[in-house]
Amino acid sequence: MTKTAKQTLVRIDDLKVTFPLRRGALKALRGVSYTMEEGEILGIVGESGSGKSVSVQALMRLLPEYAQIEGAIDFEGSSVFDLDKKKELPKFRSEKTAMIFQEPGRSFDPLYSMEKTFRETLRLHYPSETDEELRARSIELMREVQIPQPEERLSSYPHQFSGGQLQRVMIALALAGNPRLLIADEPTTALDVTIQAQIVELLLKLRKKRGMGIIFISHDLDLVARIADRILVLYGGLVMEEAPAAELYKAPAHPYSQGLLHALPAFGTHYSSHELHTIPGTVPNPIHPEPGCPFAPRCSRAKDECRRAIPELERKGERSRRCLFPLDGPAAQAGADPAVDGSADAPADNAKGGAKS
Amino acid sequence: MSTHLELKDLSIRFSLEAGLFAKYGRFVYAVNGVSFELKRGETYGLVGESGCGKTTLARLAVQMYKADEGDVIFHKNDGGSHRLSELKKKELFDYRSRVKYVFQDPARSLNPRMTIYSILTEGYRQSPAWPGEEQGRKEAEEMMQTVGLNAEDLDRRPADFSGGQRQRISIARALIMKPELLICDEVVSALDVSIQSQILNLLLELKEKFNLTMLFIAHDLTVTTYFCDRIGVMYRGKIVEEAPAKLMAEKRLHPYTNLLYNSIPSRMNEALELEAYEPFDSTQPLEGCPFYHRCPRREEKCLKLPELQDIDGERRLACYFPMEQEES
Amino acid sequence: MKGFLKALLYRPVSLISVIVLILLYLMMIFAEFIAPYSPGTSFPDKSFHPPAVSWYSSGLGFGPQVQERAVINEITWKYARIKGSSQRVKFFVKGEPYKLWGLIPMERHLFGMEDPDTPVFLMGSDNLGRDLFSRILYGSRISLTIGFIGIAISMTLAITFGGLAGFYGGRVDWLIMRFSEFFILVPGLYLILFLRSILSRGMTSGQSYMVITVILSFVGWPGSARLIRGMVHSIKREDFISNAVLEGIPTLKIIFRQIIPQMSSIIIVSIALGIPGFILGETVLSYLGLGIVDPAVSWGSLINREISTLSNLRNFPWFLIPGLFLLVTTLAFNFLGDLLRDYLDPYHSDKGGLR
Repeated sequence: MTKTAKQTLVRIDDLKVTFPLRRGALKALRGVSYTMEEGEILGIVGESGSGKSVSVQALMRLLPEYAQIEGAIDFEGSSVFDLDKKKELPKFRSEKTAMIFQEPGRSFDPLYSMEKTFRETLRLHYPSETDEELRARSIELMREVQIPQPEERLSSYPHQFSGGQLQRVMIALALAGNPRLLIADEPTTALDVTIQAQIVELLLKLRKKRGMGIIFISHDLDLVARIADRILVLYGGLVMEEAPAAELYKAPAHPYSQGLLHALPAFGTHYSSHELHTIPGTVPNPIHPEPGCPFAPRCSRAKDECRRAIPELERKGERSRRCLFPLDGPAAQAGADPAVDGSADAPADNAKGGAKS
Repeated sequence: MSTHLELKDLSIRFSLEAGLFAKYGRFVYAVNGVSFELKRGETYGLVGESGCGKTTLARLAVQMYKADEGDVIFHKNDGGSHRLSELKKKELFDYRSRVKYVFQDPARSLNPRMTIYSILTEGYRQSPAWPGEEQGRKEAEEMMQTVGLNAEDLDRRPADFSGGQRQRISIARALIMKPELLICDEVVSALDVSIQSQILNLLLELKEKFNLTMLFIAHDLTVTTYFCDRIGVMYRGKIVEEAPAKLMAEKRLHPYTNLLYNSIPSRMNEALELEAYEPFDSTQPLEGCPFYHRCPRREEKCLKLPELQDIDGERRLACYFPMEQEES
Repeated sequence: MKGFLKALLYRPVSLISVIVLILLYLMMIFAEFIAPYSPGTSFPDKSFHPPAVSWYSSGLGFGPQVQERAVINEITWKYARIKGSSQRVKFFVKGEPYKLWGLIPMERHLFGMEDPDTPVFLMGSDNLGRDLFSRILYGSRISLTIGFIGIAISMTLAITFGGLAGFYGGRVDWLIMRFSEFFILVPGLYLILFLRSILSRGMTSGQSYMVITVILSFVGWPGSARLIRGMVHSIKREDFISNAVLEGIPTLKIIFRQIIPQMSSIIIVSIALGIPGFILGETVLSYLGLGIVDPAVSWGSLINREISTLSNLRNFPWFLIPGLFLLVTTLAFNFLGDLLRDYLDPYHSDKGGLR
């Protein structure tokens, strides 16, 4: 990697994705914009229905035909919508980008040995090489993702691998085309915590070595803060906050980001001495979103104007947030740290939320 | 505090083959001799990764499976005790109305075709304590409010509710017969992050209100140390370490507990062993230390199974070479 | 229901099938009224009479009318038209008295002739000079109901045995499945013939109707039972069933009140797709002369092997018409079943659904 100014790898501008369903139009994304530089790790955090996976599926052109897509998605300066479906798209999906998923077990053909799986993938990239050469490449890739005894494991079948190992193999296969961007969609959610830690370390190491960008999608803000350089918090199909990981983790500006951070206890706290901060209510309905800020019905800081119109995404230095009353704004009083007792001022309409009062 | 539930030397293995003529030769050894006690009014947390046998253990405690070895003894609040292996049908019903089980995934544990009212009362109706339709409906309405739902929603079906609300329904169903002990099997794992804390708070509230003893099963060390009074860490069908939550938060003696701790996202460090480990083969009977194949501190001695031993009156540990750590 | 109607409109074939079925069943219900004659009414000098309703003649102009015919060859049963003998077909005409549904005495028929000696053979007549159309209508009383009764019996058996085998597993499962395999392994037709032959032949038409239904049900249940067993087996692993067990709900209640309703859509589809099997089964038996016999009529007895000989079919092609009814009915049930399967499938595409 050269040390020149980093180039923009992905630029998504005002992306709107709507799925026309029988029950109504499901607005999965309602105007999401972000850019990502080469070699950067961008973390996308959100709960179910936030649209966190949809934006990358749109980028990979994986959305179903009937999805209505508006906005622009550029990869290395050219629009992905211009890619020719037959010729350029497969190349784009394997050589420019690659994707790993939540359940690695489902991505493998149970009747293919690992060697055959690797050979099929590698042949796309190195059509003129012999089986022997491809085998050598497979071993190298398996070594890169730290599978022990790769020579022997190549003749094994998927069921002989554990979930964590399969995810490593998935990563190895994703690396086969030497992609500039790796999209990891909840890659550790189905794995055990100890394995999750290993996969995260592996991804960090690979980024350092190969200089590829990674989009890491997860519902776990703690985890994303550990791996990402920059974090995008999505809620109700909108970007709520975007900030460098460390800053967001330390001082979230949006009440929702803060709620996510405090939603789960910190290690070492105990119920007898710490009250758990809760976000009352439920995640929004993507078919009939309420007007205004999607988080307003659950937000303890929300006022009437929040419910009227969707607030703009405001940029402030390296960070931006979509909130009329941000935690770092002028209205925020010093010392009003909701972590101490955040649920005390929960709104009254949380009958279904059942927050502690 | 008196003992509420005792689990004694529980073991179970599952046959890999089935059928009338199957050769009973291959087994999965799911739980390999586990003993612990729940004190009245405490919350006991079982932590472990998938396949460690924690759910099987919890299901043994309500006799969803019959243990191959060992027994469960339940000391009722109003005197007398149940020995699970000797229960007759009627006593088992009584036992199961005192010890309730809440499932992990509320989407799958509620019959999608039944109304909430029939879901809440289906078991209650079988019981001699069923107070009749009118009073029963009243109690169901009260219970809905207790778990933070609207009483008017009793006639709706599970599909009308979100994940968090469904989990509240599951909890309401468990509590309607006023049980003494609640077994919560990963009750928050399937929920959105922002909903998990609601459910945890609700459980804390209900525990107080109904004077519940709880067995709380989770894979997350952080949540368990927050939510529970005592914690048992399971690996490969064995408890490897047990300690009060506050002590566990301060220091962890078993290398596996330590690995769990180091895997918490906010604690993760690069010193973690990176090599992908071989999954253990649970079709082999357990002989040595269950953590042997992954343990950085293993020695030959560990091939002999270490006993779970009391070390300072509060903590039990099964390890020959515990971690000596000072910081928390 | 609204969604189902919408799905129907997406599929013209299914829509037509549903309409056809409704018409057929209406005709069955009002058979006495619609049929101009009773099934036994015979015109001895009019055997093998061809269909004889025409729409035009120079004498009467347009309109349904019948031209009288006379036999010119008693061996080949050739008929010749009698010039100037056309008579109009009258609607709501007084004819043979009958009792609608065996209760209401009536004598008006939907259509018929005023002159009782000139029969209106809409679809020709059979070897004894009986009106084929009337016989088809009366025959549908057996053919169109045997499917429902048969499927009711066989589904009850299938649900009971499949449910028990699937839920209990182990030994119970093994026994029930081997028992059902016995029925599957023996070719259905042999089994039917065997069962039929051990029962006495001198039965009234009502008895033989019941016996045939029961026989067909016994041959039909194992397939559905296996399907249901498999589904019960997987549904019983659901947490809400485990919970019901923990709640102390009686086992039979769990099987039949909680598990079986989960597969109602599969059962509905199996019913729709299973009915034609019963109709055809009855046809096969009657064709072989082991089913419905005179004086009772069914579609199967109408294509009885003694009538449907090759030469008969060549000379009197209207003998194929009962077969046509059979074909249309089975096809319609199959299309309806297909539609129901796609409509009830929880995984059908959310957008537009059925296309």
